[in-house]
Amino acid sequence: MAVRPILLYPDSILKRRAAPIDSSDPALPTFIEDMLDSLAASPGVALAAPQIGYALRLIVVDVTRKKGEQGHGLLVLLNPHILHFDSPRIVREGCLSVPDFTGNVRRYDHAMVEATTPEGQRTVLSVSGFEALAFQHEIDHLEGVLFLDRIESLSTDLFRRKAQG
Amino acid sequence: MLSVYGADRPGIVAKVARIVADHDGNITDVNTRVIGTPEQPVYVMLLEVLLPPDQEPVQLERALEALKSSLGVDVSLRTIEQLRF
Repeated sequence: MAVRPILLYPDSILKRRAAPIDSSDPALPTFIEDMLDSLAASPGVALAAPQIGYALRLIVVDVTRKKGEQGHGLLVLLNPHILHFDSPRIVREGCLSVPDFTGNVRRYDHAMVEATTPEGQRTVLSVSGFEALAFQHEIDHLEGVLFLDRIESLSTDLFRRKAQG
Repeated sequence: MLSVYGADRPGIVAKVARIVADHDGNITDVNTRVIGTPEQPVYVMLLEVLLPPDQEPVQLERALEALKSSLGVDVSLRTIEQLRF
C-alpha cells in the first residue's frame, strides 16, 4: 500500500508531456498499485500518473466513486488517447492538483477512447457524460495541460471552490 | 488567447507585455488573479492578443517559450477563430 501525495501546481511534472508506458514494464504493477491506493485515499474520481509523480501515460478512472454516477467502473488504462469526441458543452471542473479553484472549460459529452489494458490488450471505450469529462481531464494531464490552459476569462471562468460542509 | 501562470514574482506582466509588443501584438483584454495556497501563491494572467495579419502566432509562441525558463512560468497560446455571419 503506497498512498502518494497528490502533486500541486507549480510542480513542474504537471506541465510535462508524459512518456508512453509498456504493459511489459516490470515496474507497472507498482505504479498501478500506487495509483489505485492514491485514488482511494483522495476525494476524486480519477487520477493521472503525473499527479503522483510518475511522468507516464497511465490513468485510473472510477466515476462510480461519485454518488449517483454510472459508467464502466474502475478502469486502469495505459497510453489512452481520444479517437473522437462530439457534443461540446461548457462545464465547471476542478482538479486535485489545483486546489481551491474551479474553472469553466469546453468539454465534450461523448468520447471514444483508445487505450491499452494492463494485460496488454488494445481497448476502445465509448464514454459519455461525467465519465467522458473525467477522461478528457485526465488525458489533458498526460499532455501537461491543466484547466488553467483552457479557461478563457479569469473574471467569468475561474471560481474559488465553495467550502465543503 | 494567452494564458500565463506560475509562482508569483515581480516582472511577469512587464516581460509578457514586452514580448507581445515586440511582435506587434495588441493586448485587447487582460485580467489577473492570484490562486494557489497562501504558502505557494500562483499568479495567473489571461490576455487577449490581436496580432496583425502578417504576424504568425507561432513566432510569438516561440518567443513566449523562452519565458518558461527565465521567469519560471507556464504559457499557452491558442487561436480564437473569428466567424462572421
